[in-house]
Amino acid sequence: MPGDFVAGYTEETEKVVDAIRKSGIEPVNIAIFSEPFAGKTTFLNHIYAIFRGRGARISISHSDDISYLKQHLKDIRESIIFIDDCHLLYDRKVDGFEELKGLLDFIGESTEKIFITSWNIFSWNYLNKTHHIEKHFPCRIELPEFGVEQIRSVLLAPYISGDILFESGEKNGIEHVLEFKSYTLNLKRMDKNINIPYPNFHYNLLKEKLSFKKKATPDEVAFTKIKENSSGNILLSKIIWEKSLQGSTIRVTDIYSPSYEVKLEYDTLFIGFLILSMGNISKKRLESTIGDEIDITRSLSLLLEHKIIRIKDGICSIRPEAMHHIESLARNRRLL
Amino acid sequence: MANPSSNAAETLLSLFNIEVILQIIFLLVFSYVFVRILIFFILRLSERFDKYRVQIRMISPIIKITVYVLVLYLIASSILAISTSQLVAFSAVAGAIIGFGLKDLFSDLVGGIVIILEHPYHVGDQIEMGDYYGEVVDIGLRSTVLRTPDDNTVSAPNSLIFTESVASGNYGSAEMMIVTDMFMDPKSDAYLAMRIAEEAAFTSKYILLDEDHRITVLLNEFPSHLRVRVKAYVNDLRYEFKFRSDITRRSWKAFSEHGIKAPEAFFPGHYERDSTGGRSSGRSTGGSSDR
Repeated sequence: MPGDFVAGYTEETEKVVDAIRKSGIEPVNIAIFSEPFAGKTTFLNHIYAIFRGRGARISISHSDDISYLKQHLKDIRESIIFIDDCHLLYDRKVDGFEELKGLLDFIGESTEKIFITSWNIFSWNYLNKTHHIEKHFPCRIELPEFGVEQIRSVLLAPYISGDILFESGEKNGIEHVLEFKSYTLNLKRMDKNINIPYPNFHYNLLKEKLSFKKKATPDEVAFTKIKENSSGNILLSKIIWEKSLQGSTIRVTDIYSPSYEVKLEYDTLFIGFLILSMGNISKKRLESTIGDEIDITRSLSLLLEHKIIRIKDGICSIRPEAMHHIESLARNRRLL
Repeated sequence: MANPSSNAAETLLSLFNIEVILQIIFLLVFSYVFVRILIFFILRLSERFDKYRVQIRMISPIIKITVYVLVLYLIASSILAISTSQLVAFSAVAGAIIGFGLKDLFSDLVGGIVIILEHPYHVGDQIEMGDYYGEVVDIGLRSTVLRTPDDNTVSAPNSLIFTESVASGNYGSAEMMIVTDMFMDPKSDAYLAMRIAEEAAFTSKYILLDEDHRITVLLNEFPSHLRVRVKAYVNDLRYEFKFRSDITRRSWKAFSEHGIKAPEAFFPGHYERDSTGGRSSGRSTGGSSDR
């Protein structure tokens, strides 16, 4: 999987390798950022593997104590330092940026070392507005969405050709561009149902009929649909794939689509957004960030109930299926 | 010789009969219900799009005025079928009525039209007009309805725009700049206080941060105290007071932890009684920005 996965980021890999090779005279620090589950850790590991002899790797813990970092950095002798999940160095509260500032100061002082860091994109954007962190990283790489072909190669990698059968799942019979359907209006007081006919226009069918393009095969339609439903997020694509697979068949019409209708009140949404910005965060740390402003137990229960987050061993994490829903709600309420 | 005003009244009365009156009533009721339904849907729609809430709500007074003007035109042209001589007669009567008894009402109506055309404020704006302050919830032909911070509904006559200046905090946007003042002892570490106040603003859940909306922290020195002023944008003006309170509360909590005290001049003898030196972190000092 990692091999197929990083094959999707060839251009980004070349960019990083090029920046490291060129930074003989003046080191160029690199920031890699993406939404959760887009593979930034796998990508960082891939780069680390390329420069294994010259690099040291640190992963920031989502536990409560992050004060060890400064001393740890001082002890490193290697010329390239890889730091994964740098967004876990801050807490969104007063006095919650000391460790982050410590890292940025250390990067500023260490002119002979190259720092390759990975960040959650929501935290990256926030910290850019508050601390202008981008000025510390001249080379910035945002991992792009996976395309249909990249998703196909990653998802089909464990299978031999022909293992999976793709079916369109469309109903038999001729579909007309214009069909008449009926809407049943229920008159409760009169205890009567009235059928009101209305025209149903199949725009896609008309487009298809007018188009000179070759009709897409079921597997092409399936992977396009998976890409659309996952917004090119590779882990979410994998979840959609697993939920849609019936034995060894993928039926296009039955491809899973994560849909959330739930509306969240402002405070609960804010907590959901904080978890999204961190990817994983301990409940204890979340409580210390929020303080007594919000009833955190109630908000976490609501998020759990709506299947937006999961909590395991005291660590809260966003569910991949709910990620884009929380993002959209937060954007609408102007939290990001 | 016939009295001209009684002639005008007779001409005017000759236009009305039961059928015409019924038609006019039907048209007025229909247009009223139509406008209410339309505005109901606009308000529902605006709540679905928080970011564009204010902009969507701005449409409602325009719709209201347009529909009512159209209805008046329809009544005058199609139902009453007023001729030029009748129009002159009607104008004379209307002029007399407006001049003697309804000049205030007429002035409010003209004010309403000016508000629609000139947009000194919109529905959804947080405005200060004369003695009134609050969110504009409706702009009618005669008055503007405001919701005050105490959740009172105030109906301010539209004619006020001719006599009072109007200050709009957001002018058609959902966001608004909020100024929060905090006062401290002159011996306090001013830079630390500024840093804390800034962090309290940008970590608030109500903050709006982007290229056009940045935080400004100002320090002023007075003989008896220091003043740290934070200017930051709230993402939705409905959270104006919560945002200000959030910044003040969390700043004072941190001030207290870092030994920054309120000015002694504000609380004479306070620190002698409280030898621990800490002041209540929950105390709010809204200062000049309190409402």
